[in-house]
Amino acid sequence: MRPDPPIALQRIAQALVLDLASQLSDPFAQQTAGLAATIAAMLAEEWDRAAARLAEENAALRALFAAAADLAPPELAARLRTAAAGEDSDLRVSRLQATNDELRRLLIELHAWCEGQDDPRIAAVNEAIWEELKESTRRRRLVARPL
Amino acid sequence: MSAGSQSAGALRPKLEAYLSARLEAPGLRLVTLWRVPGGASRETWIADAELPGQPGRRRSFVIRRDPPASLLDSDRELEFAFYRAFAGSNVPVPRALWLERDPAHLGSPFFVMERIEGCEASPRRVLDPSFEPARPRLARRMYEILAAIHAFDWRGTPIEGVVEPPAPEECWRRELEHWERVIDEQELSPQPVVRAAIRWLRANPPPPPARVTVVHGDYRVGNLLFSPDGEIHGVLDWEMAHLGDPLEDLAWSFLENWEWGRNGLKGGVVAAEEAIAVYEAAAGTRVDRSALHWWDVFSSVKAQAIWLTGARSFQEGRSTELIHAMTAYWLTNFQDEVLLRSLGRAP
Repeated sequence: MRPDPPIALQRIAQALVLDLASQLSDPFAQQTAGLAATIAAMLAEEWDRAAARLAEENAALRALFAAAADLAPPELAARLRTAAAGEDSDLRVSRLQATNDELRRLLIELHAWCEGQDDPRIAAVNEAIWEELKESTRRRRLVARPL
Repeated sequence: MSAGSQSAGALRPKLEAYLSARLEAPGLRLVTLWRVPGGASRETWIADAELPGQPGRRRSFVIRRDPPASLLDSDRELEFAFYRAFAGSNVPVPRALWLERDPAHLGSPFFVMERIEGCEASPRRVLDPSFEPARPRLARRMYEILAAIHAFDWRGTPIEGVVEPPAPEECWRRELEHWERVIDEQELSPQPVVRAAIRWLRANPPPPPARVTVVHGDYRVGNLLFSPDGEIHGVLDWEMAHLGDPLEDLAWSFLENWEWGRNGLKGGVVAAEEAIAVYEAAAGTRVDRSALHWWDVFSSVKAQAIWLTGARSFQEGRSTELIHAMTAYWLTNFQDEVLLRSLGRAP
């Protein structure tokens, strides 16, 4: 799509703030215009990166599962191996998000299991999970802020 | 506007009819009616009424009306009971007038309070440099009043009729289970950070409080009506109030969410240790810093549960309030970042 959707969304945000909100006298309507502008700015930021962000995270989770599978009990290990062997062949954001949900659900299970173990190799997996969680918040961070 | 909510134009004749009947003032006219921005749970409307035959004499009301969906699944009767209980105490609250369960009046249940005029409850206001001279007073009064809330004897008040007191050792568990259940029901996607935090909370419970007290549940600058000199004239939004561990309120008031970019100043007005000193002096107790840390982590779990509830309401079309989408986009990840810091997993 050209003009690029992020640019169109930024223009929408500007129009809402500069052209519309300034003409409104009702405080609630002003707030609604400001919220709409903020959301448009956030969507502008997310539109371009969403697929890359999800694909990167799904790959990171699969790598983590592959490394953890040999240490986990058999049933969990089997599911970790299956998940690690997956790939993102459909690049629509909705499909990537659905896969991400499945992988993050499994991550929660793996994390809870790791916490109950004394083995230093499992402790290393636990630390890797925390690093991944930290990284996941970096991936999701938005520069846009409420107006 | 929420799906099913009304504009001021549609609400006006219904509210005029209701207030006319309530005040036995046929012909009462609303001079102004507007919805207060910022609310994400119950709708808040301000109405100025002119009484018939008394030109120039106005009464100002606040109407708290149930929306079709909100960030909270709260109980209007509970909130009304807490306002009633604190009336005339040393905790300033607006006077609660009438509670109406019948949706026939305004389209959904609501209650009416008297408006406290000349005040605002705006976090933006406290960040304005012109407010700087009043800031210390607001900070001091905020934590003196919090101590007064916790010292309040709720036995024999309307609070007894709406909440069950937990045993002291059950305070943390009751709150954690409640908000975990909300997350179970509301999350649109798995939440590994908040789930890790919940496991940590279960593994490291706080000691029981010396006394089970009223907990406001959403104590922060945005819920305090203050005048330009920093005096507090009303504590608002009791919809999450309950009985429990008083440290819950202190920790909630310290959430990074309310710092508004003013690094280190809780609520944008005061450093944590300064607030604790005021609270300890007013309450005559010592704050257990380790227990406070538990409630700090819990506060982020609770906040996350609220943002996730708004996200699902918006996604499922039960609400079209844009604030639900905005808080989900902005605060869900922010809350995870706060949790990672609280758990010592991020700088």
